Amino acid sequence: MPQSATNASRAACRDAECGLFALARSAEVQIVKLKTVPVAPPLDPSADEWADAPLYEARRKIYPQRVSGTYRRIKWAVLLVTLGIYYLTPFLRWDRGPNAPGQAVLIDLSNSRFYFFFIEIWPQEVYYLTGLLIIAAMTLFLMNALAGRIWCGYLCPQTVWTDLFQAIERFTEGDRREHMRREQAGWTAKRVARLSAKHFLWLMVAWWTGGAWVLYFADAPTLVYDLATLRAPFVAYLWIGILTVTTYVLAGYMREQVCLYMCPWPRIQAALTDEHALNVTYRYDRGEPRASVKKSAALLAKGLPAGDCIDCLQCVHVCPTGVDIRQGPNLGCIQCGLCIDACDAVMAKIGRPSRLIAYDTDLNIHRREQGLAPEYRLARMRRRCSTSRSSQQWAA
Amino acid sequence: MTFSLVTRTAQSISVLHDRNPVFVRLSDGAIRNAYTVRIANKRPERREFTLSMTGLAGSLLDVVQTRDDGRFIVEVGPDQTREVRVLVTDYAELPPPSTPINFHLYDVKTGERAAAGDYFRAPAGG
Repeated sequence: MPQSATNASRAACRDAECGLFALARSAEVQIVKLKTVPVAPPLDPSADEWADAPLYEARRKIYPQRVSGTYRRIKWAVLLVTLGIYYLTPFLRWDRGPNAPGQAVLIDLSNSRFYFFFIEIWPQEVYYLTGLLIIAAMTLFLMNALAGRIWCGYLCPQTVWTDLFQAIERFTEGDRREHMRREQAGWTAKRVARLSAKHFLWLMVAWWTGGAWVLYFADAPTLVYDLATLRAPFVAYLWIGILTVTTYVLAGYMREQVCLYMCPWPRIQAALTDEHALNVTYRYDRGEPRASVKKSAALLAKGLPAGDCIDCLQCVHVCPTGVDIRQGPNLGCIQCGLCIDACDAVMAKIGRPSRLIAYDTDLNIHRREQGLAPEYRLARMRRRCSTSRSSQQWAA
Repeated sequence: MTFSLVTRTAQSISVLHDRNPVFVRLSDGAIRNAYTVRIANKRPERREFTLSMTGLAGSLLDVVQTRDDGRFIVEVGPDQTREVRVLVTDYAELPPPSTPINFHLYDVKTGERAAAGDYFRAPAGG
């Protein structure tokens, strides 16, 4: 390597180092001592250790760190729109004349009618609902073919409410580091106040979630008045109670355990995906071998390979389900893209190209490793042989 | 689905043939069948329909408890259904065991229509 080029790269590394330490200080990240990451042993179901592995793991507490970026903005927008629709729709009015209710969306169980703006459905026309469900299922499958778990990462109620609950948690108990430090510091009056505020806000959101639900089944303003004056039917209070409890428990405590143990969709999704579906992927062709900024500079100077991943663990710390995306496809990963935002922020600070973690395919990683151009096929026929091919890839 | 939603009608008629017995012979020898007809009005206003029957020449239609001014007028409330009992009497000498017939519903004001088919039953071999 010519001397000038080495100097230039050293200078770049020094700048990058400054950037890294600034980042490390600002986020109070403990730089983990670089060690070679052991490669996970190949899965062998016949081995005793796997046969005896428990099928359930109790929840590890996760402290998702605040993050900002493209996908975080998308998630905030989706959260606002979806919750806005859910909470406010019962109050929309629609004039249908004197002989019909004036609520835009109403499930009138006692008169067995469903009103949706200008559409009125009688019980014998419920096949429209069947049709809608089929369209919804197909949309879900197509989303999956396009970019994996879009539903799980952005649109699923479990994700949306958990996201909101985690935002409340950060607001009251502090971001990841403060939250962990406060928890270690033990009980203080301030911490009790913070926890009370958190649970109060959680309960308010959960209560309003249950409250909005019952408003779809009766005239919303009237029911709100009746509920407030304790004159509403018992069943309304019962359903508000049930949905308050489920929201509070599922979004506040169970979180990713719901996806791992309760929801069938991750299993179905795994069977539907193929090698061209874009998934949140750690581009290990670019990232490996991992080394700190300093060490990678040293490695490069010696002419040894060094990847772009500096092992700062930001992608792990922002993950709402506590997954390390760098370990490859993971059942726990809901593909929300927050690790992309976290990694992009780090890459920008150390002056390396963004999207070390990105919506990509394993196939493209292999292609790039072989020096081929990445291939993106959004519209494609599903080939039967693709499953056997990818399983061969995994076996290899 | 959108097409069927846009082109769906605001009224419907369904017919249920009486059983046990499916027909009765009157004292004058005529054969009578009875039906329960359900008329649905899917509009949020009261509507008047005429009910008529085709397919059986020389027969008499009677709609129980409705206005009869040359035609049978059935009033159905807003967004409601109404059941009426319909008697069909055939004066033919030897009616066939089964004759397909049609019940027709017309909105008096708008002329919108609906129809439903059924059968007029008579004893085999007269």
